Amino acid sequence: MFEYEKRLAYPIKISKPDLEMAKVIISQYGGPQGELAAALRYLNQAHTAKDPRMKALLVDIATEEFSHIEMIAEMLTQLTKGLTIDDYRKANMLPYYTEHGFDLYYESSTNLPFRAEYISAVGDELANLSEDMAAEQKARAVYEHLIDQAKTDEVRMPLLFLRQREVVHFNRFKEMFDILEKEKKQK
Amino acid sequence: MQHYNYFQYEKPNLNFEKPDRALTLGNTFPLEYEGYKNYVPTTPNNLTEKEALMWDIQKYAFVCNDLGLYLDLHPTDMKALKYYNENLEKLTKVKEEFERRYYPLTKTSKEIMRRPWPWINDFEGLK
Repeated sequence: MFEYEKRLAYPIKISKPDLEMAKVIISQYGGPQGELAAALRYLNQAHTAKDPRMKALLVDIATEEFSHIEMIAEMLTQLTKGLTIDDYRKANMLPYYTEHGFDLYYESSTNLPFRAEYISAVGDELANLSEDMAAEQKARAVYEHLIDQAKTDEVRMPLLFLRQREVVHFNRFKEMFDILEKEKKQK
Repeated sequence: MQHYNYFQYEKPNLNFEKPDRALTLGNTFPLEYEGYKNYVPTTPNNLTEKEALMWDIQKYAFVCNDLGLYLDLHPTDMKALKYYNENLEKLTKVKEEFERRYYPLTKTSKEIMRRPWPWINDFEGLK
């Protein structure tokens, strides 16, 4: 089960709202390479993973991804804090305001709502791990695109942190892949 | 990009970042850090007392989580297990101090029995 702990994994303190930045960071909330997709993908694969090491790894990384959803949500909240309809008009975000008001929504930077097609589970450990490795690489690339656009360290530092987590997760999944592949050959 | 495998990690000279630096980088194993362009992650400064204590929770929890991922695959690595335990002990201490001074972090914290229901008061704890 999950128990909520009332704190962030890494501090977020953004003093200046920036709707343009929020408009692109939202992709890591509900976009194809986003944190929601990551959390759901790994948690779902964990249920049926046969290897106990792989099951543990998937649950632990999925749990961490939920804390990353929360970090991104907090960044979006602070980047839009105190903004008005007029600010949304200037940023061409009235359609977003129409659907969601000042709430967050799981969607990509190109306004595609979250879709289950972003994640897969194909009943094969090596195939699933390959998907997980690819997902981490793609998320890393998107974080780099976001870091390229960041104007302040307040925004850049959490993005750099999250980018490095993608690197580490990739390495763990790759290790798991190599271990299983090697053990398979030895049988 | 370089990748580190199981066998390389089994080397006895596996070493770890200190918790402050680990959280700053998002990385516990120095071998594994891979910077982006010339950006240098920095540790937040000018923290209030409360924020500093929260940072301590965040850093020890981060190291425990990151080592946990590694230990999932290498449960008999005694060096990693020792560093995990050290950080877990410190985490428990700073959490207790934070909860005593500010608010319970979970609904099952010991502190929750000693004070009025804290949950809905404010959400500033998130920051």
